[in-house]
Parts: sequence; C-alpha cells; structure tokens
Amino acid sequence: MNTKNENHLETDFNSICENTKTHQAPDLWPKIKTQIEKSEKGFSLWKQSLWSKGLVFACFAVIITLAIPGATETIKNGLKKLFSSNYSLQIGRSDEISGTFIIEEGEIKKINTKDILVEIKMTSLDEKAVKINVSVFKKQKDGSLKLYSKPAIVALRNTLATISVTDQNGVPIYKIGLTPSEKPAKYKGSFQKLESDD
Amino acid sequence: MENEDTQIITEIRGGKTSSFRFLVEKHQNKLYDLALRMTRSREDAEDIVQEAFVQAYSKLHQYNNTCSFANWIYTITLNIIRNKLRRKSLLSFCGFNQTLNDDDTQREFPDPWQNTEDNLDKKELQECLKNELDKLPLILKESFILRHFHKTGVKDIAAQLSVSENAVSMRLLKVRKLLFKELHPKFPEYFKNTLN
Repeated sequence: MNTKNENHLETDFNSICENTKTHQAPDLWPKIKTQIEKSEKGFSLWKQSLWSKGLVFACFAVIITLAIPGATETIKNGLKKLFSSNYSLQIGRSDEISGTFIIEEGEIKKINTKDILVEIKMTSLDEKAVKINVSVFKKQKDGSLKLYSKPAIVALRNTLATISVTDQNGVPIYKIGLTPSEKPAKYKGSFQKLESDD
Repeated sequence: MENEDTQIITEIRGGKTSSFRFLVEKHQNKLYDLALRMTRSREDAEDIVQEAFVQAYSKLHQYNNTCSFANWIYTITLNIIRNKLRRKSLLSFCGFNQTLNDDDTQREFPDPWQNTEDNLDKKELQECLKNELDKLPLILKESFILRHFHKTGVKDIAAQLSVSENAVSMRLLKVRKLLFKELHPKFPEYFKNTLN
C-alpha cells in the first residue's frame, strides 16, 4: 500500500467514523467532589505513594518484631548455619578418639583430653567450603593452658579434612580429622559431650 | 480553550477549589467516551473518569503548563484504563454484547437517518468496526479512537500516549491496514478512495 493509499485510508476511516456521537457522561461532579473531600480529610500518610506506604509499614513491622523480648536473638540464631561433623583426634602415639558433634556457625566447641584442649570453630564460606579454625592448647601442670598451635583450614563440605602436626623430628603431636556437613535449619539434635578422660 | 483551563487551574491553586467543577464538566464527556470505547462498560467508564479527575486534583501541584490540561488528563485516564483492563483481563477481547446491552447500542449510535438503506449499511459497518477494534491490541485501539473518534491530532496523541509522533503515525498506519483488511471485503463501497 503506497502513501497515497495510506492517506486515502485515513480519509475513508474519517468518513466512516464521522457520524459517531460522543457518549454523554452522567454528571460525575458530585461523586468526584465527594472523593476529593474524602481524600483531603484522610491522613497525610495515606496521600503518600504506595512504595513509601510499604516502607513505613515494613519499618513498623521490624520495630514491633524487635520489640518482642528475645526476638532479636531468635532471628540471629535462626540465620546461623548448623553443622555436624565426624571427628577423630589422636594425641601423640596414643589411641585415636572419635565421635560426632553438632556445632553452630561461629560457636566454639571443645574437645578435652588429659593433656590437650582442642577448640574448634566452623564458619560457612559458600555452598561448598567451610572454614575451620582450630586452637590446640597444652595443659600445664599448674592447670593453666598454653597455646600450642592455631591452624585454620578451608575444608570442603562432607569431605574429610585432616590437620596433622609433628615436631621437628617428625614425631606426631596431634592429628585431627573433621568432616563438616551442614544440617538443615529445622535439624534438631542433642549436643554430645566431647570431654574425654584420656 | 487551553488558556481557559490554565486560568481555572490558577484559580484552584489560589484556593478556589470549587473551580475544579468547570474542568470536570468541560472534559468529562470526551474522557467518558474514551473510557467507554476502551472498556465497553459504563460502570467501568464512570469509575475511570472519576478516578482520573480525583488523581488530577490531588496531583494538580505537579501539573506544569508545558502540555495542555486536556492532554494531561487524557494521559492520566489512559493509564487508568490500561491498568483497569490489565487487572480485569478484559483487554480488547471482550465481545460487544457481553458488556453493553441493547440500550447502550441505541445510545451510542442515535440514528436520525435510520430509514435509509445507506445509513443502515453504515451502521452495520460501524458495528463491525467496533468489533474489529475490540480484537486489536490496546495501543492500536487507543490510537485509532483518539484519531478517528475524537479527531485528535497526531501531535496531541503523541503527548497523551507519551510516545513520539512517528510512533503514533506507525500505529495508526498499522491499525488502519488491519481494519481495512477485515472491513474492505464486506464493505467495499466505503473504501472507494483507497481503491482508486
């Protein structure tokens, strides 16, 4: 269709539509006036745009939630990840002890033996990796603790990670094996006592 | 005309809020006609026009004189129409008979020449035109209604739809071609110019 025909098409449709009458609206002023008066009487808050109303509502909700005793702590704990880990610990040439413990992200778990105290902390890095901080203390005769070593490793979830420390002669001092695996938030389990009298 | 609107708006801003009534009375028929043609429902059309004027009143402080009040209120109305149609999933696919009754049909085309065969034929064509318009996408339908039923210029349509004049021309060209394709086989005598 060329430009001439396009112009003719416009003329044709003008002609087709020329006798159509504009619909007459009923008198809308009384209803409009009522609505305007209502809106003017309303709170100025409700004159704001929808997103700002939503923002105000969200702020109120947060404030109310945080005002509930213990709610903040519950939220904070709810966001923490929960790990369970098989562990094995061998001090020197003694027998290996092993078991399973459950640990919250950031929490410090202690494995207590006769001569050694091991503290373990786990932090989730991403979907695959977990950072494990280990502090190994040697118990002194006077009961005090002396930090022996403080290794930190990045371990894969559900994979055995081993920390092995030997002296300068290659004699093993301790060896720790950990297999961190994340538990779902709703996971419940009792904390196992990790103290050992070895 | 535009100066008159500007003067009324100045009065409203000055505190004489009752002057808003003049703006309502001046523009309500065209806006109602537009809303009715788009929604095919009198109730919806009334609601839309009311909402448009209430919105215009509450946002009157935002209105600047860079465009005419008529274009501004048209834009508001069109936005409400689009939202309403989307919300109700009506779009333009609702059949004429589903929402307008016989009485509506009579009022839409009061036909003083009803006895002549020619005008009966034209009425049938207009009926077909409305039905074909209902099948079109919203953006084409609104452009056609504004141009051919409201006799609005392309420049003003562009301002009302917030698009370029080129875009409006393209939409009009497209909608006319689509309608021609459907209507020409049934009513060739009304497209004599185009065939020449």
